[in-house]
Amino acid sequence: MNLALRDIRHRLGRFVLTCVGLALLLGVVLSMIGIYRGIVADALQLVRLADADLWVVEGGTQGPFAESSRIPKDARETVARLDGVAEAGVLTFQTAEASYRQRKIRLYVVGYEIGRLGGPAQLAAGRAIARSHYEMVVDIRSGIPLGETVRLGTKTFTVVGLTRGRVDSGGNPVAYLTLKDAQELQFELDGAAARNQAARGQGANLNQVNAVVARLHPGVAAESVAQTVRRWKHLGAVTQQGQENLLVSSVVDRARKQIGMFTATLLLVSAVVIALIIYTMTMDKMREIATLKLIGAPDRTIIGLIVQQSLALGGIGFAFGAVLIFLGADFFPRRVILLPGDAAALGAVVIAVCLLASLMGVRYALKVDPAQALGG
Amino acid sequence: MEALVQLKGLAKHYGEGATRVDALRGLDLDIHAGQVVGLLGPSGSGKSTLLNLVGAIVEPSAGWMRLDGEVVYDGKWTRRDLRRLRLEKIGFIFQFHNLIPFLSVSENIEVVLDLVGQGRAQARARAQELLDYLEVGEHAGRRPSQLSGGQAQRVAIARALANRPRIILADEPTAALDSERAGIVMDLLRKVAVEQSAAVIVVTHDEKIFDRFDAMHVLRDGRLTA
Repeated sequence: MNLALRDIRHRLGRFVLTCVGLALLLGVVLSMIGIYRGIVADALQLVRLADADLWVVEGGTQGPFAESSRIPKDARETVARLDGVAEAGVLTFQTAEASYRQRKIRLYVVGYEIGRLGGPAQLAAGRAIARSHYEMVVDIRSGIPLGETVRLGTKTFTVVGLTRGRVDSGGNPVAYLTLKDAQELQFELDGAAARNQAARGQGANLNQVNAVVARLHPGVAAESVAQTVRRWKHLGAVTQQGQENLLVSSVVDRARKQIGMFTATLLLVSAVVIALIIYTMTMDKMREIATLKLIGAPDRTIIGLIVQQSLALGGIGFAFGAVLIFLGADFFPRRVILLPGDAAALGAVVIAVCLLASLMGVRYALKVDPAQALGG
Repeated sequence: MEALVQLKGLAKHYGEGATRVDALRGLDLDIHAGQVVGLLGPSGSGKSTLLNLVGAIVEPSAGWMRLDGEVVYDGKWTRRDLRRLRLEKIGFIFQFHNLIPFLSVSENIEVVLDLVGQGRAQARARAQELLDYLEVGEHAGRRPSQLSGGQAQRVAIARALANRPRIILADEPTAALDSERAGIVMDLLRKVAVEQSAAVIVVTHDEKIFDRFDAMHVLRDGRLTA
């Protein structure tokens, strides 16, 4: 006879409410893991969107995703002529605030040369940039529809194409501009500042880019080409894998630690909550436990009653929480990636937490004296 | 005929030295099968201690005890053996029936049979048989909270009888009942004692059932005075 199930049925309302509370808590834990996965995926996507095998950056730096990197634009021709390089392109990266219908939207602007490596590979709607000025391809997450105009810096751009799922590691939608537009956005000053600079005899330097990306012929080792580039002292080179590792370890690492700490804290809170609930539920049944012991119930029956309830609480709470987060993942402002492996790992942790949490209740129940069932 | 419950020089004390309390002092008592015995005494006289000793819940400090032919506490008894003894040979009836609220009336009886390893169908049939015997068969599917005091006490008696115990210990079984229902409960205990050849020990203060016992023993300061 399953006593745990019967007790749950007897106090169903209280049990369900407790499960809902726990579900929300475990849902938050799962969403934290999903948010971390999302940050990593967004960061990697940013570095993968150029579809390159090699990144050529400013010598002594780790590239535009980790620190400032400026190299001359003509480095592209130099890299393109290297043995093993199939094609090369130049890229600029910057974060800019755009104005769209009195709304400020933060965009991650990527400048690229039309027809060369680094532009948006797949579009969700519209077309690629065809004119050398004032056209933009932007991610759908920006909320800007096709054909709309956006004010960026001192210029107005028309959205001609839309991408899907292209955001930076901070969750900002990516906007593609031509290299020239992006350079002007980055280096040209407005009004009085521009006049002041001209009076000093200084103009905007439109010959600078942040990185050169290269695609190699099949079978060519990226590291050997990188070593060739590194011999030129003023340039540095990082393979695609190296760039991804760098991004995860430098940019995402702190977020990973932060979220890891938060997740661990939430799991601890869940453990305390489960332990308290199970302990209270056990105390409520003190007389029944004493009676069961008196009529001859073995310890395993009493332990089973408590542990099964604890597992049911954790299991149902976790299942509710997982369903809630799987259904609601798309409503989060940032990407939430829920992997079955992560859910299974959390499920295993929850089971372990439930077993640990039930120990306090079990200890209490085993101490109950059967004589307590006798007398008033 | 050998007594079903034999107590010889049974003593129990709690604490040591200045804090020592002698709850029972060398008690001798024989109770035979078919007997319904009353145990009286003021608070602190040792009634509960005696019930706990015969119920194999606490160990005596001195003396010995034979239950249904077996000498208990001879140094070889483990906690598990005592639990088994309670499960198979002793039935308990409580003042406030102590039915398990999250089980139905029938399940409160089935749980005892489940503990000795009886199959579900068999346990259900036995529970129904007992409930019918105690004239509460129509309440089998109800929760204990839906029963009157008298009905709940009958269910508690049914639970105590589930394993056909040879010894029934009842702690103030009629305290919460009116005279008529108290009489019915005592009639039932008598019926069980005779039909199942069991010994029934009733701890009570309830004067309205004093005339229902084969023998009455009065405890005072840990000793039998009558």
